Amino acid sequence: MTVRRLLVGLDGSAGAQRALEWAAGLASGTDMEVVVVHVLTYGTELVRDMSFETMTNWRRDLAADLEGAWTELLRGPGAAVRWRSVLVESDSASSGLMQVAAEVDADLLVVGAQGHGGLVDRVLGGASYRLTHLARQPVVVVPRDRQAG
Amino acid sequence: MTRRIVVGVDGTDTSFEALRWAVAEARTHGAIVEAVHVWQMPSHGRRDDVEAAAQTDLARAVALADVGGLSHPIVKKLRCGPVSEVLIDAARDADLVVLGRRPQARTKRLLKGSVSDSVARRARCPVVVVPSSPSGMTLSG
Repeated sequence: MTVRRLLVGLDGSAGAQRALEWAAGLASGTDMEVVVVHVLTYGTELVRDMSFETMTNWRRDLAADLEGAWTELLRGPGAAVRWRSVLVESDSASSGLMQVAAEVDADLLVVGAQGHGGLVDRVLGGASYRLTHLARQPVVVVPRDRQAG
Repeated sequence: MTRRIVVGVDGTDTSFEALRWAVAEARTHGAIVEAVHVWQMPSHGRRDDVEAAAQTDLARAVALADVGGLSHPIVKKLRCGPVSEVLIDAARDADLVVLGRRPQARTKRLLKGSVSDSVARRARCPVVVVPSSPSGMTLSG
Protein backbone atom coordinates (compact mmCIF):
# COMPACT_ATOMS: atom_id res chain seq x y z
CA MET A 1 0.00 0.00 0.00
CA THR A 2 1.84 3.00 -1.26
CA VAL A 3 1.00 6.20 0.52
CA ARG A 4 -0.54 8.64 -1.96
CA ARG A 5 -1.82 11.33 0.31
CA LEU A 6 -0.77 12.05 3.87
CA LEU A 7 -2.24 14.47 6.32
CA VAL A 8 -0.24 16.42 8.88
CA GLY A 9 -1.83 18.15 11.87
CA LEU A 10 -0.29 21.56 12.54
CA ASP A 11 -0.89 23.81 15.53
CA GLY A 12 2.20 25.99 15.64
CA SER A 13 3.90 23.74 18.24
CA ALA A 14 7.45 22.41 17.96
CA GLY A 15 6.04 18.87 18.03
CA ALA A 16 3.88 19.58 15.01
CA GLN A 17 6.88 21.01 13.16
CA ARG A 18 8.77 17.74 13.74
CA ALA A 19 5.79 15.90 12.29
CA LEU A 20 5.84 18.15 9.22
CA GLU A 21 9.58 17.67 8.75
CA TRP A 22 9.14 13.92 8.81
CA ALA A 23 6.22 14.05 6.39
CA ALA A 24 8.12 16.36 4.03
CA GLY A 25 11.06 13.95 4.07
CA LEU A 26 8.77 11.11 3.10
CA ALA A 27 6.98 13.05 0.36
CA SER A 28 9.89 14.99 -1.08
CA GLY A 29 10.55 14.20 -4.72
CA THR A 30 7.57 11.85 -4.92
CA ASP A 31 4.00 12.14 -6.20
CA MET A 32 2.75 12.00 -2.66
CA GLU A 33 0.54 14.91 -1.62
CA VAL A 34 0.88 16.44 1.83
CA VAL A 35 -2.27 18.02 3.26
CA VAL A 36 -1.50 20.25 6.23
CA VAL A 37 -4.45 20.74 8.55
CA HIS A 38 -5.17 23.02 11.45
CA VAL A 39 -8.23 22.29 13.54
CA LEU A 40 -10.02 25.21 15.15
CA THR A 41 -11.56 23.69 18.23
CA TYR A 42 -14.74 25.27 19.52
CA GLY A 43 -14.00 24.43 23.10
CA THR A 44 -10.69 26.20 23.39
CA GLU A 45 -10.80 28.91 20.79
CA LEU A 46 -14.21 29.88 19.59
CA VAL A 47 -16.66 29.72 22.43
CA ARG A 48 -14.95 32.41 24.46
CA ASP A 49 -16.39 35.92 24.58
CA MET A 50 -15.41 36.62 21.08
CA SER A 51 -17.01 39.04 18.73
CA PHE A 52 -17.72 38.02 15.18
CA GLU A 53 -14.97 40.33 14.04
CA THR A 54 -12.39 38.86 16.42
CA MET A 55 -13.37 35.40 15.29
CA THR A 56 -13.00 36.35 11.64
CA ASN A 57 -9.58 37.88 12.32
CA TRP A 58 -8.52 34.83 14.26
CA ARG A 59 -9.46 32.56 11.45
CA ARG A 60 -7.68 34.77 8.96
CA ASP A 61 -4.52 34.79 11.10
CA LEU A 62 -4.57 31.00 11.43
CA ALA A 63 -5.04 30.59 7.70
CA ALA A 64 -2.07 32.92 7.20
CA ASP A 65 0.05 30.88 9.63
CA LEU A 66 -0.94 27.70 7.84
CA GLU A 67 0.09 29.13 4.47
CA GLY A 68 3.01 31.03 5.99
CA ALA A 69 5.27 30.45 8.99
CA TRP A 70 4.06 26.95 9.82
CA THR A 71 4.73 25.59 6.35
CA GLU A 72 7.89 27.47 5.48
CA LEU A 73 9.92 24.31 5.02
CA LEU A 74 7.58 23.20 2.24
CA ARG A 75 8.23 26.37 0.27
CA GLY A 76 11.98 26.86 0.66
CA PRO A 77 14.47 26.56 -2.17
CA GLY A 78 14.84 22.95 -3.24
CA ALA A 79 11.55 21.96 -1.60
CA ALA A 80 9.96 19.33 -3.77
CA VAL A 81 6.74 18.57 -1.95
CA ARG A 82 3.27 18.71 -3.41
CA TRP A 83 1.03 20.16 -0.73
CA ARG A 84 -2.06 22.14 0.22
CA SER A 85 -3.59 23.37 3.45
CA VAL A 86 -6.99 22.95 5.08
CA LEU A 87 -8.42 24.91 8.01
CA VAL A 88 -11.27 23.07 9.64
CA GLU A 89 -13.55 23.63 12.64
CA SER A 90 -14.40 20.81 14.96
CA ASP A 91 -15.01 20.05 18.65
CA SER A 92 -11.62 18.39 18.99
CA ALA A 93 -8.31 18.20 17.18
CA SER A 94 -8.62 14.46 16.67
CA SER A 95 -12.16 14.58 15.24
CA GLY A 96 -11.21 17.47 12.95
CA LEU A 97 -8.20 15.59 11.61
CA MET A 98 -10.27 12.44 11.04
CA GLN A 99 -12.93 14.46 9.23
CA VAL A 100 -10.40 15.96 6.83
CA ALA A 101 -8.67 12.59 6.41
CA ALA A 102 -11.96 11.14 5.18
CA GLU A 103 -12.70 14.13 2.95
CA VAL A 104 -9.36 14.14 1.17
CA ASP A 105 -9.02 10.34 1.22
CA ALA A 106 -5.72 10.32 3.12
CA ASP A 107 -3.68 7.11 3.47
CA LEU A 108 -1.65 8.22 6.46
CA LEU A 109 -1.99 10.68 9.32
CA VAL A 110 1.10 12.31 10.81
CA VAL A 111 1.07 14.10 14.17
CA GLY A 112 3.60 15.28 16.71
CA ALA A 113 3.96 13.45 20.00
CA GLN A 114 3.41 16.78 21.70
CA GLY A 115 1.11 19.59 20.73
CA HIS A 116 -2.50 19.43 19.59
CA GLY A 117 -4.12 20.31 22.86
CA GLY A 118 -3.72 21.66 26.32
CA LEU A 119 -3.74 20.21 29.78
CA VAL A 120 -7.07 18.43 29.44
CA ASP A 121 -5.83 16.68 26.33
CA ARG A 122 -2.71 15.60 28.12
CA VAL A 123 -4.63 14.27 31.07
CA LEU A 124 -7.03 12.37 28.83
CA GLY A 125 -4.28 10.97 26.70
CA GLY A 126 -3.67 13.69 24.13
CA ALA A 127 -5.13 14.22 20.70
CA SER A 128 -2.28 12.37 18.99
CA TYR A 129 -2.84 9.26 21.07
CA ARG A 130 -6.60 9.45 20.71
CA LEU A 131 -6.08 9.48 16.97
CA THR A 132 -4.01 6.31 17.07
CA HIS A 133 -7.00 4.58 18.66
CA LEU A 134 -9.76 6.03 16.52
CA ALA A 135 -8.51 6.86 13.04
CA ARG A 136 -9.32 4.60 10.11
CA GLN A 137 -5.87 5.20 8.64
CA PRO A 138 -2.45 4.37 10.06
CA VAL A 139 -1.22 7.19 12.31
CA VAL A 140 2.43 8.19 12.68
CA VAL A 141 3.40 9.81 15.98
CA VAL A 142 6.65 11.74 15.50
CA PRO A 143 8.70 12.42 18.65
CA ARG A 144 9.84 15.91 19.39
CA ASP A 145 13.48 15.03 19.94
CA ARG A 146 13.77 12.55 17.15
CA GLN A 147 17.11 11.53 15.73
CA ALA A 148 18.33 13.24 12.63
CA GLY A 149 17.98 11.40 9.36
CA MET B 1 22.72 3.80 5.46
CA THR B 2 19.98 1.23 5.20
CA ARG B 3 16.84 2.16 7.02
CA ARG B 4 15.46 -0.12 9.71
CA ILE B 5 11.80 -0.63 10.33
CA VAL B 6 10.90 -2.42 13.56
CA VAL B 7 7.47 -4.02 13.71
CA GLY B 8 5.81 -5.54 16.73
CA VAL B 9 4.39 -8.97 15.92
CA ASP B 10 2.33 -10.86 18.48
CA GLY B 11 0.34 -13.35 16.44
CA THR B 12 -2.81 -11.22 16.30
CA ASP B 13 -4.51 -10.08 13.09
CA THR B 14 -3.79 -6.43 13.77
CA SER B 15 -0.11 -7.11 14.26
CA PHE B 16 -0.14 -8.86 10.90
CA GLU B 17 -1.63 -5.68 9.42
CA ALA B 18 1.28 -3.82 10.98
CA LEU B 19 3.73 -6.26 9.40
CA ARG B 20 2.08 -5.85 5.99
CA TRP B 21 2.29 -2.07 6.29
CA ALA B 22 5.93 -2.25 7.37
CA VAL B 23 6.83 -4.53 4.46
CA ALA B 24 5.12 -2.23 1.95
CA GLU B 25 6.99 0.73 3.40
CA ALA B 26 10.29 -1.18 3.35
CA ARG B 27 9.73 -2.12 -0.29
CA THR B 28 9.49 1.58 -1.20
CA HIS B 29 12.65 2.55 0.65
CA GLY B 30 14.78 -0.57 0.44
CA ALA B 31 14.62 -0.83 4.22
CA ILE B 32 15.26 -3.79 6.50
CA VAL B 33 12.22 -5.09 8.38
CA GLU B 34 12.75 -6.49 11.85
CA ALA B 35 9.78 -8.40 13.21
CA VAL B 36 9.97 -8.38 17.00
CA HIS B 37 7.83 -10.69 19.08
CA VAL B 38 7.86 -10.02 22.80
CA TRP B 39 6.75 -12.86 25.02
CA GLN B 40 6.11 -12.91 28.70
CA MET B 41 7.48 -15.27 31.34
CA PRO B 42 4.46 -17.33 32.48
CA SER B 43 3.41 -17.16 36.12
CA HIS B 44 2.71 -20.87 35.86
CA GLY B 45 3.21 -23.34 33.07
CA ARG B 46 6.45 -24.09 31.37
CA ARG B 47 8.70 -21.38 30.13
CA ASP B 48 9.87 -23.47 27.19
CA ASP B 49 6.33 -24.03 25.97
CA VAL B 50 5.54 -20.34 26.01
CA GLU B 51 8.75 -19.47 24.25
CA ALA B 52 8.20 -22.15 21.62
CA ALA B 53 4.65 -20.91 21.01
CA ALA B 54 5.95 -17.36 20.59
CA GLN B 55 8.54 -18.59 18.14
CA THR B 56 5.87 -20.37 16.14
CA ASP B 57 3.63 -17.28 16.06
CA LEU B 58 6.49 -15.15 14.84
CA ALA B 59 7.61 -17.63 12.19
CA ARG B 60 4.03 -18.04 10.98
CA ALA B 61 3.41 -14.30 10.65
CA VAL B 62 6.68 -13.76 8.79
CA ALA B 63 6.05 -16.75 6.53
CA LEU B 64 2.64 -15.35 5.58
CA ALA B 65 3.95 -11.92 4.71
CA ASP B 66 4.36 -11.11 1.05
CA VAL B 67 8.07 -10.38 0.87
CA GLY B 68 8.18 -9.84 -2.89
CA GLY B 69 10.29 -6.83 -3.77
CA LEU B 70 12.04 -6.65 -0.42
CA SER B 71 15.76 -6.09 -0.70
CA HIS B 72 16.46 -7.92 2.57
CA PRO B 73 14.74 -10.89 4.19
CA ILE B 74 12.65 -10.09 7.27
CA VAL B 75 14.72 -10.39 10.44
CA LYS B 76 12.97 -12.30 13.22
CA LYS B 77 13.64 -11.32 16.82
CA LEU B 78 12.22 -13.06 19.84
CA ARG B 79 12.46 -11.15 23.12
CA CYS B 80 11.23 -11.73 26.63
CA GLY B 81 10.14 -8.95 28.98
CA PRO B 82 7.71 -6.08 29.49
CA VAL B 83 6.28 -5.35 26.03
CA SER B 84 6.62 -1.56 25.84
CA GLU B 85 10.12 -1.49 27.29
CA VAL B 86 11.38 -4.23 25.02
CA LEU B 87 9.89 -2.57 21.93
CA ILE B 88 11.36 0.81 22.85
CA ASP B 89 14.71 -0.85 23.33
CA ALA B 90 14.45 -2.72 20.02
CA ALA B 91 13.60 0.59 18.34
CA ARG B 92 16.62 2.46 19.63
CA ASP B 93 18.41 2.61 16.28
CA ALA B 94 15.34 2.18 14.12
CA ASP B 95 13.98 4.73 11.67
CA LEU B 96 10.40 3.70 12.22
CA VAL B 97 8.39 1.50 14.57
CA VAL B 98 5.15 -0.06 13.33
CA LEU B 99 2.53 -1.43 15.72
CA GLY B 100 -0.96 -2.81 15.22
CA ARG B 101 -3.79 -1.13 17.05
CA ARG B 102 -5.26 -3.39 19.62
CA PRO B 103 -8.97 -3.22 20.20
CA GLN B 104 -9.42 -2.03 23.75
CA ALA B 105 -12.14 -0.67 25.97
CA ARG B 106 -12.06 3.11 26.27
CA THR B 107 -12.04 3.09 30.06
CA LYS B 108 -9.14 0.68 30.21
CA ARG B 109 -7.20 2.73 27.70
CA LEU B 110 -7.77 5.93 29.67
CA LEU B 111 -6.73 4.33 32.92
CA LYS B 112 -3.80 2.23 31.88
CA GLY B 113 -2.83 3.45 28.46
CA SER B 114 -1.86 1.04 25.72
CA VAL B 115 1.40 -0.40 24.47
CA SER B 116 1.27 1.84 21.40
CA ASP B 117 0.68 4.96 23.55
CA SER B 118 3.59 4.16 25.75
CA VAL B 119 5.93 3.29 22.86
CA ALA B 120 4.87 6.40 20.90
CA ARG B 121 5.51 8.61 23.92
CA ARG B 122 8.95 7.25 24.60
CA ALA B 123 10.47 5.97 21.38
CA ARG B 124 13.10 8.18 19.76
CA CYS B 125 11.83 7.48 16.26
CA PRO B 126 8.39 7.93 14.69
CA VAL B 127 5.83 5.27 15.63
CA VAL B 128 3.09 4.16 13.24
CA VAL B 129 -0.09 2.68 14.68
CA VAL B 130 -1.92 0.63 12.05
CA PRO B 131 -5.66 -0.04 12.47
CA SER B 132 -7.08 -3.45 11.68
CA SER B 133 -7.96 -3.89 8.05
CA PRO B 134 -11.55 -3.02 7.12
CA SER B 135 -11.44 -5.90 4.66
CA GLY B 136 -11.13 -8.25 7.60
CA MET B 137 -7.95 -9.96 6.47
CA THR B 138 -7.27 -12.56 9.08
CA LEU B 139 -4.35 -14.64 10.25
CA SER B 140 -6.00 -16.85 12.81
CA GLY B 141 -7.71 -19.87 11.42
